[in-house]
Amino acid sequence: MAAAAAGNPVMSFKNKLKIREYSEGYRLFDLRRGSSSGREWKSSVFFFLGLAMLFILMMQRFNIVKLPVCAIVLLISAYMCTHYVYMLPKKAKLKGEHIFKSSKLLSKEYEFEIYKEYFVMKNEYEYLKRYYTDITDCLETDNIFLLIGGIEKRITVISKRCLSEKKSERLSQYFQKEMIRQYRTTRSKNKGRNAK
Amino acid sequence: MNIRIEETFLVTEEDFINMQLSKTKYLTPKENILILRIMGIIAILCGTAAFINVRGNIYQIICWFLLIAIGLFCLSYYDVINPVIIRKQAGKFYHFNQKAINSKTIRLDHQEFSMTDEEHTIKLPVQYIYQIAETSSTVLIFFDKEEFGFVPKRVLSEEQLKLVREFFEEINKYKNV
Repeated sequence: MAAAAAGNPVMSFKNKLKIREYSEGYRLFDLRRGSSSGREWKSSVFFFLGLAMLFILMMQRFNIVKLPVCAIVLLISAYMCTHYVYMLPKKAKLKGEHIFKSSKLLSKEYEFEIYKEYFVMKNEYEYLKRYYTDITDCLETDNIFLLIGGIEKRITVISKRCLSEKKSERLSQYFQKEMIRQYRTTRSKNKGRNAK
Repeated sequence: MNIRIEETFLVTEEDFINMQLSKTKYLTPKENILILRIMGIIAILCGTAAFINVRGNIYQIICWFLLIAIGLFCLSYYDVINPVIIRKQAGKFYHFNQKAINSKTIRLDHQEFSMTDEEHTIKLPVQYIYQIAETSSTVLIFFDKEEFGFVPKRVLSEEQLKLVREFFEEINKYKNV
């Protein structure tokens, strides 16, 4: 495989993903960098467009024959609003499950080595070295760490299930320290307190 | 079938742009393209018919033209507008991340496929490949439904391409996009 990493790792552990963990990671990726990103303002645009059309139609006493374009735009706006608010996040989770099922690699066990400037993930089929500077997003939830990075915007999901509570907390603090700008958490407060 | 390919290449800006275009082409569901085209045609027909038959006041005429414009937009979105946007975005992205783009080496034989660069190595049995998609400029090697590696067609000779095509067709993993 590729060149060995230099120095001793700060931390190392083994990780094997389950389908729901990957789909959770993919949903988060989709919300942040995928097709669902910016869905709040996109749905707002359609909401106000729909509202404007409704107002125009109201002024004409809902005479649809007189203003067919308004009626069509209103319908499209209503559909797009539902699409962005409700359908897209649901679709993303399903897509994540499909991707996991279609991959022979994602369900395999990976060995992670966390170094000062980068991390390495490897198994018998793959070796990936990723510098923290190449990471665009580091997200932490109650169940997973999600790292998005590289030119291909690859997602790396680390399951907390495979880590001890102490190790998980250490990793969280390490990512917070090394990726100040990219780190975000959606961890519930109770869990955070319990961990401490 | 006996196949042995080993090539090293550097990803140029054009390769990167072509890869992004090919990826979009592969990942866009055919139904989406069809629905948008049908919507476009309906909007143009409705707009034209309304303009000829109803016409009405100036605001209504603007509405009919707007409908025709929306139709034209829908009709040309996947063929003209989207590729232009992707080209622009990919070009910008390439210049911004040029340092992170390394030379790649691909190896393929009848048992194994591997792709290596400075920071990433993937070495898979051929059965683990999800699909090979060939477009006019790029060969995309999908490891699952979304993650992939790519080889610009300029890297491979016509003979090598034919070998790849036949080899993956034989194991039902080839798709011409």
